[in-house]
Amino acid sequence: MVRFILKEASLLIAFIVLGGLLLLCFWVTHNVHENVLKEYKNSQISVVLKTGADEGFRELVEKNHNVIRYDYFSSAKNKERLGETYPELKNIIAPLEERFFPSSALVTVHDASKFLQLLDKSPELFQTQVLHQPPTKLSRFLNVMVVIFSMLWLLTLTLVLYFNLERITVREEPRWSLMKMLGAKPFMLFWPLWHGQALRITIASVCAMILAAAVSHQLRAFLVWDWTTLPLSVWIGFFFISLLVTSAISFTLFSVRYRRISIG
Amino acid sequence: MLCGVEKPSEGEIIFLGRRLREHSVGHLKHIGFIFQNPRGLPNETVFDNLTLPLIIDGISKADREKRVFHWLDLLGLRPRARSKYRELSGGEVQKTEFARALIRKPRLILADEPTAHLDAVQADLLLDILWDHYQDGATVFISTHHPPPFEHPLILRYHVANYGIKRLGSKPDLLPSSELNTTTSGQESETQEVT
Repeated sequence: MVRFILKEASLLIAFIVLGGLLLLCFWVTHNVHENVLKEYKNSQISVVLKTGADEGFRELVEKNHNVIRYDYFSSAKNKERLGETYPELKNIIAPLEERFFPSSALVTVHDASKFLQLLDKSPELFQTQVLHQPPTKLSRFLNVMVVIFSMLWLLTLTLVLYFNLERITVREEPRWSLMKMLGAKPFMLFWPLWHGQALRITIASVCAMILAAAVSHQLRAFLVWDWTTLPLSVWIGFFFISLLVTSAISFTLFSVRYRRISIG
Repeated sequence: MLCGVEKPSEGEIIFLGRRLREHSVGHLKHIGFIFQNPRGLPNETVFDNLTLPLIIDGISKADREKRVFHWLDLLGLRPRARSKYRELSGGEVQKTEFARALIRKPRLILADEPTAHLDAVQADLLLDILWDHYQDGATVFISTHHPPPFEHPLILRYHVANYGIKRLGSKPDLLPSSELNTTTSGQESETQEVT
């Protein structure tokens, strides 16, 4: 019995930790989507313009339906931006003439390749261009991590419920056997059992949520972006999905176990 | 097989007009099992043990009490109603098992040595109750090493031994097997001794 309880306790701790990691993974994914991927929802192209090509370039992008928006930066603006980016160089940059700073534009487009083809046809307008693509690999990695943690969390939950049921079975088998002989349906016996398991998983889920909230709070201090907390719907969703999955797994495990109980 | 634990190797079992499936338990409400060895819950009272079938059937509390006390009075167990099951004597346990099996008026009664731990008077009482149930339409199977010493046209007696079954001293034309509430098609199951 002590071995059973120790096994259950360690699995429950693993369940809490994995639940916390799953939520943290959600949190990172959510923030990466909000801060990075949202910015790259559409492809962006930085274009460094040739001297005197400003008007021609403006005309080109304003007529093109592929362009969603563009931000134009004049020579003076670029000089100012460079000084702001590198304050330690501000004194060196300040006396330089504006002609050393080409004007540029950041163009947001629906289809980057089409726009690049268009630019290639007008080489007199620009010196160079840089295509900014969304970090799809990072996004894929985070999604894979969410799936992996979800699977591990589910596996741990199943093990927690399985060992809990095994322990209860040792105690309750004579009663279940008699009830089965008397024609009791599995649900009748499952219902009182479910209360205990649901309570246990509710407490563990809340602990996982507290763990995730505490760790994310600590991590926010180290991170560069303004990381937001997870939406309330994710917390509520996690809680109710935990309960729902617990009920489904518990009932399945119990039904299988109940079938194996001998009659009388 | 009647419990739905095992499938017949051939044929099918039809109970109360419904085909029995493997692992089905719903029909067990209509079967009263009396085992030679007790199956009751030792840490619960006689009263609680007797209410179990009625709780499963969703009977109201007042009705449950009425029916349980009726059986306790019938079997002389009322003073033991609040005693733990484990505290009962062999005969009392046997009578409690008997009451639990019959309290919901099952359509089929399977009794394995139902009078094994009882004196002759108590055994007669239990057999009389079984007879009443039979007359109310229940089918009663009794497996016993001490069959009643009398013959009755409505009692079919079989001797089961060495994987064989033989009908004893009966009058087959009086009660065709088709009139039994339970019909079994296919291979006969191996049992001990049936009266």
